Amino acid sequence: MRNRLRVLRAERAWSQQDLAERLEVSRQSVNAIETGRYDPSLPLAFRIADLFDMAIEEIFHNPSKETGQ
Amino acid sequence: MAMLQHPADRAYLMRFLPTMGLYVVLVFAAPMAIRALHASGALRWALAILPALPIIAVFFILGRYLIELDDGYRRMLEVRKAMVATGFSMALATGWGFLEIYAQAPHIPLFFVPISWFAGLGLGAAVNRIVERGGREA
Repeated sequence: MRNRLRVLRAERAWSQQDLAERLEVSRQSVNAIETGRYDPSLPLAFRIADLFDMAIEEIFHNPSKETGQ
Repeated sequence: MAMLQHPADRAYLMRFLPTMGLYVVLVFAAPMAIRALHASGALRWALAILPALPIIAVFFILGRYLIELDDGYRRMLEVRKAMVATGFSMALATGWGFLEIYAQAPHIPLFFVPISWFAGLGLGAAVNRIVERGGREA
């Protein structure tokens, strides 16, 4: 699933490891989510949204709305 | 299991290492005991099964690991690894089974099925590395 995680992280000058520690997941997980190879669980998506003080849909692109773009 | 930062990794090792230690002891002790006691019948069966118990425990330990590993992505990698190992091991057992029946291939003890499964975990790890290689950040 496409997302803005890498941009949001870069804006805060956090490394993947920094973000992983804040989310209590592995750096591998952060990398896989950023590159769209893994969709986070709903609880993790909420943790990500809470961390950046944003709504989930402001971070993750709704795949059903991407058709035709 | 490259990383040990998750408590589930440490718990796995704390269970796995002593269990394999027990296996090494039993794999030598069981045949010695059978010979020393001239064991037969039920006693021989009981002694012969002893080395299998730690290996059976390893499958349980792997199950606990998957339950305790609450990092969803890493759990997916571990499950994929186990699925590759299962496919590898079952394919090998099926293929060799037919070779034994129709081509008089030499008989291989069933014991080699779990051994091939553990070897298949290595294959699964290689598959994970190949799939992972795509999006690694420099």
